[in-house]
Amino acid sequence: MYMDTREFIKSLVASLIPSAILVSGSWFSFMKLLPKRKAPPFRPPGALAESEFLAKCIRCRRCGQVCPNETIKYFDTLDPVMAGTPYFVPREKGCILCMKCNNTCPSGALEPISENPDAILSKVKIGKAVVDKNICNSFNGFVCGVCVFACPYTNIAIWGDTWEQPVVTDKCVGCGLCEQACIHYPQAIRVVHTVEEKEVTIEKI
Amino acid sequence: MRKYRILSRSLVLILMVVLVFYNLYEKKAGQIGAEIEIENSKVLTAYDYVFGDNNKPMLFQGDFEGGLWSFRFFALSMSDPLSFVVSTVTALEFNFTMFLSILIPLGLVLLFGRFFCAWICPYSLFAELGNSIRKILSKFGIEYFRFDLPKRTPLFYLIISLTLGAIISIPITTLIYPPRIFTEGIYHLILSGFITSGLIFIIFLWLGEIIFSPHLFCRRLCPGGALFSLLGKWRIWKIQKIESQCDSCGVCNPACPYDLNPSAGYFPSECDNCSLCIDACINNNRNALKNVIRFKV
Ligand code: SF4
Ligand code: SF4
Ligand code: SF4
Ligand code: SF4
Repeated sequence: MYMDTREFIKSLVASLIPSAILVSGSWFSFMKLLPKRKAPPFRPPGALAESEFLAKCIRCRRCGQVCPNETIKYFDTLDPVMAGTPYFVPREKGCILCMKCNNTCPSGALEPISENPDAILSKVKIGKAVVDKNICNSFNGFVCGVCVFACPYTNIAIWGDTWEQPVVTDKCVGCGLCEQACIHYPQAIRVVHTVEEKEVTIEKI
Repeated sequence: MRKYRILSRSLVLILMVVLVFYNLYEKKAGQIGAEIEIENSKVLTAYDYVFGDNNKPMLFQGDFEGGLWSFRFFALSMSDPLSFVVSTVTALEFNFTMFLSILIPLGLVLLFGRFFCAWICPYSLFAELGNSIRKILSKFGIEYFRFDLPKRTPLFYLIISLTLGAIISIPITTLIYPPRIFTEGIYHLILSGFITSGLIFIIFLWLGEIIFSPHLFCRRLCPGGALFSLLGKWRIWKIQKIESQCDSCGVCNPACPYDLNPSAGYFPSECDNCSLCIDACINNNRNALKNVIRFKV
């Protein structure tokens, strides 16, 4: 492994150039592209906190191939930070909580969760559904309650009050099936990030 | 040897395409009401013809998913050793499950060195094709550059990009790694019909290699190649020069895509046993250069 100083410096410079391009691309993405997003994407169930997730995920696309509901989509932009990472749009396709993606994830970016309902209720936290009372049918004189019965955890995560007015509890896992099912346009119930909790997990580490 | 290598890598490339479709077919066959999607697609209909007619599963039970970068076949999960290194260093966390999934490839790399580059990686197929195109073009008298980077660049790129990636917590090392790009590119092309930024990079890289320097990426940048060279130091499969049969003509030297020196009998761990030097050797019939598998004493 003998190497003289000249060759050392040359190799260093030559390898710094592509690294610098990729780092500045990531910097550009952090500074310019990410703030432009209205909200961070929803990751599949079991995902680690966003910063850790981005570091761990190897962008293999196995989670999307195993997803039976075709819930998971992938970023593909020139954005080097997000490209190839999985996300889903609740209004398009909610997650049916089959826990296949996180059990197949090779890198641990999605933590494996067993398929029984208790484990899912306690561990999955993609976000939380929020009802917009101004437009929801049930709050405006039409008995609806479609979301209540779309939820896999009816009466645990969400329950119907008088005239099926949806009330979301803290047990909601944020799968987005209610948002997908809502018959109002635009959707009167939508999943939002539980930002506080994500920040807590980042602080813990 | 070259024939077998072309066959093996083409097979890998074809398998990558076929298996993504297979995965898609399995998924559609498991969905109620997706028959129409199968009928609408010629490829999926063909799959239905081959695999269909038995009881279609109501619950999706995939046999296979993934690609070259990381895949699962029934219960067997395998990942590229580079993916483990990158994920571990970037996240600064050891994941035992992932370590298990790289054991088989890691063992193969320890035994056979960079065999992955010469026998499996689809990009090396294109790189060799590019080199042939270059040769054909140069017959028409077009002179080309021969640009090169310093020798240790891959190793330095691996180390520097891993360090920088760990600092900003983004796995930047593998953004330019062909097996990963092919895996995701093929998946994306089939599922959404769009070409990924990675594939665009590969196309430009390939054209650049034809014009400026053949095999430049494999030789001077690929982080996977650098890792496998490091790990393959004690490999048992090597090319050997038989001193008495060699005329020291040096015909084999320019044939080597890694700029090694076969005529001097120098086969360091950068050698991926591509055997191009053997093909070039004028004393081929005398076995001046040959593939040997030998356990080191
Ligand atoms: S839990 Fe199942 S449905 Fe939900 S994203 Fe994962 S694989 Fe898809
Ligand atoms: S399976 Fe895991 S590592 Fe692979 S793309 Fe999905 S989250 Fe990332
Ligand atoms: S309330 Fe909505 S988001 Fe929450 S668990 Fe039920 S269906 Fe999923
Ligand atoms: S489905 Fe939509 S409109 Fe109907 S009750 Fe639920 S949130 Fe309201």
